[in-house]
Amino acid sequence: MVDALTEPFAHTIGQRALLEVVLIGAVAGPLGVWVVLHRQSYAAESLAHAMLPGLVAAALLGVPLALGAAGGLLLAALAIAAAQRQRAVGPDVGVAVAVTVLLGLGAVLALAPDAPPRLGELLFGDPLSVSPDDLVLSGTGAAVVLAAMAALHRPLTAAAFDPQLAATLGSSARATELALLLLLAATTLLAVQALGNLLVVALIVAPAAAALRLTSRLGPALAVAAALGVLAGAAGLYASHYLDIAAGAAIALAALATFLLAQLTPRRA
Amino acid sequence: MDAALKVRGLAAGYAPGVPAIEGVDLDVAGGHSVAVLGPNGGGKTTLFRALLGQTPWRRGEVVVRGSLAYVPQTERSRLDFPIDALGVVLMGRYRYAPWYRRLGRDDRRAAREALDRVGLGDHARTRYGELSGGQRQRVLIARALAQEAGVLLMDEPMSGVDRPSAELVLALLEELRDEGRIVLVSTHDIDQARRFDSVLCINRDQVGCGRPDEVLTAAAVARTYGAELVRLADGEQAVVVQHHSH
Repeated sequence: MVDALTEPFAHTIGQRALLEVVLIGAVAGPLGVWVVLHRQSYAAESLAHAMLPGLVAAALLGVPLALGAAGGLLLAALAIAAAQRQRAVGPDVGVAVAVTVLLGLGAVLALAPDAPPRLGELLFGDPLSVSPDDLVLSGTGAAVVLAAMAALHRPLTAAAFDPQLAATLGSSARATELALLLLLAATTLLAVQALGNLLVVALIVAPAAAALRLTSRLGPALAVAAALGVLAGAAGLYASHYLDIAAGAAIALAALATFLLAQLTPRRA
Repeated sequence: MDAALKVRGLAAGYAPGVPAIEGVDLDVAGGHSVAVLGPNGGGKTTLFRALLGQTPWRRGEVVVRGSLAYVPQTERSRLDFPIDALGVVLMGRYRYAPWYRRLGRDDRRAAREALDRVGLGDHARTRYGELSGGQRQRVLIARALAQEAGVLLMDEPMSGVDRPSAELVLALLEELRDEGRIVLVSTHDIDQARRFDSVLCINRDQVGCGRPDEVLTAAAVARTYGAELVRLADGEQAVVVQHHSH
């Protein structure tokens, strides 16, 4: 039994993968709670999907994936911000079009004849390919995002509970919203290596939605979301090892499983 | 508590230069309650937001002694938010601690006292969304108390609240007024407005302001409610109010 639990992590590759998913699960879970409470799940999905051109460009140029992710996220954020101002067609249509165009652009670049064959990894991630440098980046980034969330706890609470009132309580709802989107971008950047740009949203939104279903206060919700994020990461790695399925996809499915199981519990008022 | 509120020729709106309210004059000393009476869309909420400095455009003069606290309609706060009554009241203390520092013991004590004050000390750990409409309204009043506000701006505190709770809320407002605070309450209920020290009638322009028996004349009420007023056969007036969220 113990062997079965430790076997997937007997080698360096498995150990690195485990550390990576623990780090990103512990950040993505609580960040997701704020994303869900601020009703920004659609923004999270849009941002992650639209960053593909940056990832592909990094693969083509041979520069670190994180650099491409940062560039891709910046481009995606600008495109989405511009699309949201399209009053003629409506912001949701504008964003949907912008995201699909960028996703398509990324696919065209990735499927070009001289592109390295890594499209699958970019779309669906591979936690087993994390390097020690990636781990350093994940660890540092995770610490920064967690510290920022702790520092912004009160503004995030006020702005989500009552956005119009936040100002009279001493914080700006708009600045808080912007800070949340920056933290979302940072978390996406950290998690994209392991989960890919199509699946990263699962680890942000699903454990958070499950935690909000299982708890009735903010503190416990944040803690449970972190635990479920880590659990989904580890469970995905086991499933990947024993069922021989793609690790990124297995983690995304494990995260969705936490959400579905939580829905089976009785609803709190 | 020595609050005061002076308003001279106030005009404000969401589009620059396009007033949603105009010509508002008000002079209130501490220990007074004012009902702001008007139809939906008549500018009651705009007036409060202008006093708070939240409308993008404002002209005229507003002088406030004591800090302002806004008590929103309970329907506008999020009932699915994972927070208990004490947590909501603690929000009133947010501006007393820098955003990066934790709230201290004094803040918790102030929040507890405010909750006791509105008679909900036993419900501190109850989830906000599980409270009744009247209890939620009292929690939001407690939050304003935790803010140490001298001037309370309350947006339709009696709407969505059952009658016994509304009486509780009204009694609480009278207590807070007697302690020297200024209590401004927006309402579209003329009978409720009669219970306040003054009434400010507003329908984009200020229709009148003064003691209820002086201000609430048939003519003033007709001007305040305009097209929403229907006249009954026996000569009595009835006010037709379309409820809508805004």
